[in-house]
Amino acid sequence: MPKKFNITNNVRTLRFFANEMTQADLAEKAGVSRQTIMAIESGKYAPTLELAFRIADAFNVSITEVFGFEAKEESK
Amino acid sequence: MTYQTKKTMVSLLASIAILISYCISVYNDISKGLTLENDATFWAKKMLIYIAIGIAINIISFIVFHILLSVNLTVKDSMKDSKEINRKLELEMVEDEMDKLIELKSLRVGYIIASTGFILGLILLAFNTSIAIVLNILFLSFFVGAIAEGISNLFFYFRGIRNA
Repeated sequence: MPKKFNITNNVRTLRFFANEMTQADLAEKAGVSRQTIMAIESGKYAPTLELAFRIADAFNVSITEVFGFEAKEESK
Repeated sequence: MTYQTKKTMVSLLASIAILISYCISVYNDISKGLTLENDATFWAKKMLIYIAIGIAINIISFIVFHILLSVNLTVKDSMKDSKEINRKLELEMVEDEMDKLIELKSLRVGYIIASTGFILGLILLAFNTSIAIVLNILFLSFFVGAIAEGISNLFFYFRGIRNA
């Protein structure tokens, strides 16, 4: 059965715990646009490894605390 | 709506306006009763004029768009410091990996349409179709390609995009 892979993220939660950091602030720290942060948060865009590291660095956490990987079985 | 989507919309509207004005102009020429089926010089001149108009309209619309964007930022955030306004503008205008990926994917859509029009034009030419029709198909396919590129750009921004 074909498997579908999903990249999950905790960006919203981490922003909350970082003194309710705004999307614009995170975007500035990661060097991307606010639109990209919005897309990542809502699962519409899976960032490259480099950007994933930069986002993790902005929160001072490891990459695995920001992004996760899940495989779900797709029904035919 | 963010800077990139607004920019795409401005470009898209400019392309649509040029395409419509070209179609109206051609319709007027035909309704005047001009027989231009084999007058390649006439069509080449007309298309060159519209390409020049297209470039001019794009430049003007982007200048107006950036002025409006700066005014909007200044009014919305009630900023008076020009350095702060410039910093905010630079943050808005940043082009990152997602923008580049979307641009590549939508450019591909545009190229597919433009090259399909080119091949269709060549096929028609091979079957002795008039040069006016072939030139118009080529010209229109490039414009339709640019419009399709803009639409797919917006589509990817709203729906999201995957790296793979």
